[in-house]
Amino acid sequence: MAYVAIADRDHEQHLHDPQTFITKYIWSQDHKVIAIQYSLTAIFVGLVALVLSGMMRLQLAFPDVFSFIAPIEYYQFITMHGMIMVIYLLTALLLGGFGNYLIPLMCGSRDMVFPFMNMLSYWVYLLSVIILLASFFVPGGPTGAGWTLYPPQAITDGTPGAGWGIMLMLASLAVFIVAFTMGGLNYVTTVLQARCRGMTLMRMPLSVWGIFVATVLGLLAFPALFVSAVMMVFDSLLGTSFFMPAILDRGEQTAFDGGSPILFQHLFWFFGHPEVYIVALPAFGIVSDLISTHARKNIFGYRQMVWAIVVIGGLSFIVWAHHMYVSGMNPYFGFFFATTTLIIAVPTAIKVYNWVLTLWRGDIHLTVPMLFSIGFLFTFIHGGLTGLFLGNVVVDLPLSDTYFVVGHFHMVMGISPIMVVFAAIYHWFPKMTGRMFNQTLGKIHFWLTFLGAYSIYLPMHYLGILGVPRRYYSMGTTDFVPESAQAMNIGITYSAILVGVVQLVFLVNIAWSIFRGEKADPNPWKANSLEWQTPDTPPKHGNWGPDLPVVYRWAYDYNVPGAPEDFIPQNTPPDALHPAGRDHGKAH
Amino acid sequence: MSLLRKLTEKPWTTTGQLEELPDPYVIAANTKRTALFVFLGVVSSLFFLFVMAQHQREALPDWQPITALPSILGLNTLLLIGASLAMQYAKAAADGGNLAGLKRGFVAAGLLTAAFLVGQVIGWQQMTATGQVIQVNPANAFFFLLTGAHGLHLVGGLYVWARNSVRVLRGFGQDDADQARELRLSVELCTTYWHYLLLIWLVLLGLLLVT
Repeated sequence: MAYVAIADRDHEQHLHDPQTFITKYIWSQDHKVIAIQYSLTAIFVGLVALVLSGMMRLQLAFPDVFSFIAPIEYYQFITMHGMIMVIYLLTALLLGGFGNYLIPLMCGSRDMVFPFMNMLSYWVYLLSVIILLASFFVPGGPTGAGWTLYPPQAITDGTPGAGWGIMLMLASLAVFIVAFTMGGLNYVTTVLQARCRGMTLMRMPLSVWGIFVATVLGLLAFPALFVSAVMMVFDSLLGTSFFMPAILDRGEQTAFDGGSPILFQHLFWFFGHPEVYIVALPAFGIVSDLISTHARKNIFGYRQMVWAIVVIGGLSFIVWAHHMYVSGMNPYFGFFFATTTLIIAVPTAIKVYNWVLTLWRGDIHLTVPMLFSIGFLFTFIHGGLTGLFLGNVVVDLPLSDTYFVVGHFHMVMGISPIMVVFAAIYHWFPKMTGRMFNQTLGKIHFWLTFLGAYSIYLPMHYLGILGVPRRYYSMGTTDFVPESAQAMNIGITYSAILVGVVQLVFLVNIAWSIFRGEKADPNPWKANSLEWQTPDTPPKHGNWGPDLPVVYRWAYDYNVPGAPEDFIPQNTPPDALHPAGRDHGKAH
Repeated sequence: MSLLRKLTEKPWTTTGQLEELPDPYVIAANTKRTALFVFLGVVSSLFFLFVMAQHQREALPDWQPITALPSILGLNTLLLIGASLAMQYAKAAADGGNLAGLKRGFVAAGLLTAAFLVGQVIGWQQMTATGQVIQVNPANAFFFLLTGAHGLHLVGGLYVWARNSVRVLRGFGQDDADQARELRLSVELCTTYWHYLLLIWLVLLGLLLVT
């Protein structure tokens, strides 16, 4: 029986087709437009967070020089920087941006399965961003409780933004979670139900696998943040004692009694740890595809890569308490979580070996996306190895709350996913816009960002081993920290400002290339996956013209012996390659 | 093909192989079913975490069980069981092409659910009338939190119910197979959701009774 996709039925197609500028670019239900809306919003709010980090660095390098950075502002900057980067930039960009753009194109679908809900997801996300940024303008300013928002201090007077700020933060998070759930239902259902003919689960590009599993993690983990946000709002506004213990506030007994701050920590990290992988897994998937494409070689161990993504996703739910070793937990409890944490190193190492083995004897093209992908391998291995230190209870105890931790997590979930984000933007830019970016500017952007990021975070590990505590507004007189630590802090700040400014090169390159870039070939990297095989570049609404693609092979047929070119797109039937029917025994 | 076989496919050995896709209606129906099951997964995670939070909070020394649960909860539970049964009846009627039965069951399910929600609000009033407000003790706080969260999910269900009941009351022509099929699917999805929320309510009620 001939297969007619749901969106191919005439009447539905007409319903969805955008008619005016507003339905095409503003209230758009097209996954590609929504993806770009998500990405631009996330990048905008990410730039705000970048500026905040620059101000923190200025204070750390030159204490008491900048009068507009008092301790209150410093804590507000820390909090907003962390929360924005983790949730409103990385989660939104990797899932809302790349998830939206890539899933339908890579799976051979016309669009997400519920386009209206998908549109709603973006607008609700935008609302959450507006609520978040509004907290800069309310009495008391944004919350300064640290991005983990630990009670009791988050909602106790004396903490910056303990009134309006924290409420707006919690409201914004709740709204974000609603937005994510609407998007996530779409991503998961589209992957499971709307793949084109021939696209079996194991023929999907690893990008889709990474985004898919990350979305499942998000759908199961974000409720933990939601629960903790709701309960904290209850504590603050209704006077319940879920998290708030009996506490003296300036000598007066508050009405709170018996609540457990540790309960909040459990809930927060039950979300917080999977969140690391919500960001990492899409990056893992995307970087696998990029390395394979730009090394002109099939990904080494495709099935291991898929299973590793799934296993990492599963394990990420049973390691959360490794963020709480210093909370006074039972040592056996700590032992359990240290064990599960270190077990994650196994599937993760499989992935790293497979990336390296894909490069091994590949035909490596040092394009801009490839440079960023290889950069990711360095930063990720680096951040992963310091994770082994911190995963062990006895090593974590002295290093906890020092700059070692700051160095570790920025390397592993800050710089590494950002490397992939840049790689992915450069890789798919020709498809999204139909134009090529400037390669030289791209390479300058890469080298300065990569080396600059190293010179920010590598010294932080050393500061941490010296015992320099994180979160301090200024060190004051601290005997065990030598003078030289301050010199290093100044160096780090210079690097941070350099890296921040270098991002202008990226922004200028992108902005200029959208309008003035050279016209791009529809498949400039000679890649196999379906998004490069669309009839139009950039793809039109509905993606595929009159007929959906049919998939005959996986996405990694690079340099197949006997093939006329060094790549075979997924929708190439075996007969098309070898009209006489000689396909080296591969066709059935 | 079983899931295990799907996940152990060696994609580099199956080049050129194609499988027939099912009928588009089957795909459309499975898409909605999948989305509902994924959403129920999110709901499960939410309530699981609420319950785990209560479980942890209970272990602390200041915990005291609720002194007297509102007496109306028993009646409310019966109403919700009734709603679930009515939904099941509507689904059976829809499957059998019995439009009158479908209308009866579907409308009854919504009304019983609305009655349940009114009953829950009365339950809250009973609690507060006896001074058992939310701040008094953590068990009360969890009572209001859990019943509130469950109620909001039913309100969401009622929104979908209201949209569908317009279509149910309008009915479908004898030979409009498409419409009948879509309506049947909507009723099926509502039934799944109602049963699941009943299950969650029974778990929550059990928890309220034992602590």
